[in-house]
Amino acid sequence: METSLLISQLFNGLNLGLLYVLMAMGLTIIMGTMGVVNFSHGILFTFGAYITYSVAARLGYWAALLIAPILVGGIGMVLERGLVQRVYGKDPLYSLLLTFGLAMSLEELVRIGWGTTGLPFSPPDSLNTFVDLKIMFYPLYRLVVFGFILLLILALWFFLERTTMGKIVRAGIQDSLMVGILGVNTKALFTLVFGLGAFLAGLAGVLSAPITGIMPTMGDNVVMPSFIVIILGGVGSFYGSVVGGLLLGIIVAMCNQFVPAVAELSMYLVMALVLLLRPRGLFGEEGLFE
Amino acid sequence: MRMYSKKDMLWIGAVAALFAALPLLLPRIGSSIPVGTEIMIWGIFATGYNILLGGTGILSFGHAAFFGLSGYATGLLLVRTGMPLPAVIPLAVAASLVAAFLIGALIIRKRGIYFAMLTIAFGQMFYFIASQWNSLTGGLDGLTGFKRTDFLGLDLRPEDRFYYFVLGFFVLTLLLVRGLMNSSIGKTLVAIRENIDRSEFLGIDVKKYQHFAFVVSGTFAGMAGSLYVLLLNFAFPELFYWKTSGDAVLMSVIGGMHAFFGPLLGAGVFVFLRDMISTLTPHWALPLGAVFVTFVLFFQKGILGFFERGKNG
Amino acid sequence: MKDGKGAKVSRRNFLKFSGVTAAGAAGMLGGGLSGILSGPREVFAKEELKVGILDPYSGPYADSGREQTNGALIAVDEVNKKGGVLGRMVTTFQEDTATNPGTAVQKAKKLVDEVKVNYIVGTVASNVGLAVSALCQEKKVIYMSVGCHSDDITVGGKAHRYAFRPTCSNTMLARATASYIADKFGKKWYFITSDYSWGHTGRDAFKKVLAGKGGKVVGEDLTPLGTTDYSSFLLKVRNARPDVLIVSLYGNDLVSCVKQFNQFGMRREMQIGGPLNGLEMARVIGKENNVGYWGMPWDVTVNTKGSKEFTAKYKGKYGKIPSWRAYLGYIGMAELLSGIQRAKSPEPKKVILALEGHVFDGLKSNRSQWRAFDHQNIQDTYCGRAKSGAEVKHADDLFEIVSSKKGEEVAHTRAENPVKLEAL
Repeated sequence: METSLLISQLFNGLNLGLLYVLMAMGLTIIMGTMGVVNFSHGILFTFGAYITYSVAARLGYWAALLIAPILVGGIGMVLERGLVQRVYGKDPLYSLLLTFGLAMSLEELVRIGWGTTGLPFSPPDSLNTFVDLKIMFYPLYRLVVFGFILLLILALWFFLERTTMGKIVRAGIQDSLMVGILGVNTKALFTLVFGLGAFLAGLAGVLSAPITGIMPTMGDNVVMPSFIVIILGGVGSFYGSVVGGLLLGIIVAMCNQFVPAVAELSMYLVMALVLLLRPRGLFGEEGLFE
Repeated sequence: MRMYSKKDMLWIGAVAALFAALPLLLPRIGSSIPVGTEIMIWGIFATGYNILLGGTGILSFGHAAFFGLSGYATGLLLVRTGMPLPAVIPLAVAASLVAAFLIGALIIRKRGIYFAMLTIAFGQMFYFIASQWNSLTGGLDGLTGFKRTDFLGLDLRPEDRFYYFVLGFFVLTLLLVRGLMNSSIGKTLVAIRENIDRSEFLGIDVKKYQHFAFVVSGTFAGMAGSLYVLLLNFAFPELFYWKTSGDAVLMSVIGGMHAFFGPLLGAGVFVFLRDMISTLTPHWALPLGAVFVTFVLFFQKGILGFFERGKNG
Repeated sequence: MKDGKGAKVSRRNFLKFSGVTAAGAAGMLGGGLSGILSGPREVFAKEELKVGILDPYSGPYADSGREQTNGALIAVDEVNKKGGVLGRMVTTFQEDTATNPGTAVQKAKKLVDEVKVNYIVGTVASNVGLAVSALCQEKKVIYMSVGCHSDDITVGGKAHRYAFRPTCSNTMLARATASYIADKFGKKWYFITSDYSWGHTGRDAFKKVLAGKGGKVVGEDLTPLGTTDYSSFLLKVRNARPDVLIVSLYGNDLVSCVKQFNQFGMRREMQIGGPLNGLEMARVIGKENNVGYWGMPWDVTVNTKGSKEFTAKYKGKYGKIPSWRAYLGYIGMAELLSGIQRAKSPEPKKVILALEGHVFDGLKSNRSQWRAFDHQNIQDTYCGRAKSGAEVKHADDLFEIVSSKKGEEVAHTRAENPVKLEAL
């Protein structure tokens, strides 16, 4: 076994993991703040990709990169205002059921709007080439996405740790009731948080579209892994999502290298093991969702 | 205490009579007898599943594991051993019972979302094993090479015969589940659903009861899975998929998870809609999802619960 | 059935639709009653000859499914224009397999039990095809396995009297393609294989040819159907430094893999090929990324009078060039209907006898034949080269046939396929 191949696989696994991180962070702030188990997160990802397709056809990929996540964030806010907020405070079961049904309907909307078959999509011409990293050729687009998500995670960290708004969101994850008592408009906060989560899912969809192509079920391929990531990392934990996502990416890559047959199985196996041994995941805090 | 009230017997009798007559009706409305068989099979799954969801207040997204396990066990026993059906079905259902017991023992102490996620995790493990262990399960090709033949001399090959065969299991399920929910165990389950803390305070071993409900519902899922595979003469990995579990949840919620016949009604609506509308448009899931969302938001007691005005069953 | 350019809503489906609409008003289950009240529909049943079409319209092979159905409908149009079969108009009933064997079996049951068809034409994925095939044998319904290439359809224990395969087997495709690739590009091969029946038999057939040439397998991976990211497998491939990467992938899976093969810069390091590729995928792969040598059951460049006529008809109806999927749908349906006509009876058993051994014009240079002992359509089989960049003259100018083999040269011999179909 050559070291260069191992390093290539690790790097590629981290790249995949970063995508999971992006998805999981949106999921985890929604879950942490409102107690909503958002099964529609995958379809928001899908929407991100399809909107990219339509926008890019007219205005180009770069415009889509800007517009699509904001649109998906908007869709998220509308869903939150119209539907999801009605189940706040109830058993998490209801939010799970609600978003499950929502995902089902929205996926059909995608099929009606854009067709049942997959759509072709390639990276923008300027990035549609590869780079010689000495140990391997690597697609330039994937490299750029790698750097972009890293920056984004830093920005998000900055937002949560250093800005007032971010501190309120974090406080909301800790104890949303208390935040309300302290005079913050929790209704607006919740809408904003849901919108931010949807924005992140949409962005993940935009970035994925050129790598995997676009199809109605593409959300299925990422929604389960991102649930696994937050369970691994601990619900509501920023660092948990980052560590969990990268860990999962590396596990999948290593399985693909050595025992491809168990690549998908391994994700669920790891989640079950972690949960059975560490009930709240790696960085989870007591009291959430129990 | 009597197991069944007069009203129970009347209702179950009426439902049994309705389903006994259904084969005459189905072909006349552009449907077919196997559609009726499928409604009863999903009815068994959902009614049993609802002991857990509606009865005990626990959400599992992993009961497809037991549905599929028993289904594959049925197919494998028929392909590999050539055992007769009267042995195959109980063995297959027993496999689900054992699996539900073991998985339940591992995870029943987890609460809420963690429990739900663990049920998905176990279900998906079965899914990936079934889709990749080619030499045993046939992998993504599914498992073929077996046919339902006879049950103690009764030829089950014609669709109408098999329909009435399933009807037997179906009525049995209704009687067993109704009896269980009427019994002191059933009352305890409902008490746990209504107020866990108080139940614990009263000295009830809550986890033991929840585990029991998990195993029983898993066993009924197994019964349904075995019959379903016999209906199609085919087993395939999607039997295990988490969305199959989702279908059972959907049926319970739409029909009404706090009404005894709710899940059955949900199963009927689901199968009938899919069968009718999927021919016209592949987008049958759109209205179904919308109806589902509406029910979660506004009619949390489901169709039947809505008419029963809050009476719990 | 929703269908942009294809068939109209059949009478029966229309009635069903009114039934369902009424059902919406009357409550979903109670609506069944209004179905009865809306009147008998059996009036039309006497005149029409019902054929079930079962293809994927959703899922990873949806594009191919649509093409096959479109092709089949051309054959139906031709026959109906001439007054139908046995004096009866042909009506088709289309169902979506969703590229999923479980759904497909349910839909096939629906076609047989509810619609009461005697013939099912279609299917793309071989796992779907094998499941439907088993059902058709049990129900004694003729199954034209239009687009399934797994050897298992006509070879070995799963073949049966009611199943016919209009297309080539994987072995035929491999024998027409693999030796060409081995001679030209080298004998160190890596395999990426879709983990189901079609992928497996495709890989095995290529391996057999490679072994015959004294070549070497330097690595292989199985990937689940529906895989979208092949990056970690491509890293392994590159590290193994094969001469050729053989991908037994199809549909979206093939598209993703070939595109990523390009994105990882592997095109300049090795050749790529496999049992199947076609227009509907190459269009999506894009002309810049279009690369490799592939098995093909037909191509629009096949230079015969019949093929040109078919292409013209197809273009006239659908406004685009037919892929070989469309060709297969056409041949499958046309052959079934002509078999019924020759049998002078819609009875499946008689139709089977009329089909067995029949020699016909399959629009190729040499005549095609339904071989009696395994129901394989013995026909010319092609190896196509994917065109890319400047040599692509128009949007559909994506393949060039580089080698053509006669059916008898590439198909299993009687000794290789000792299948014994059951008596009727």
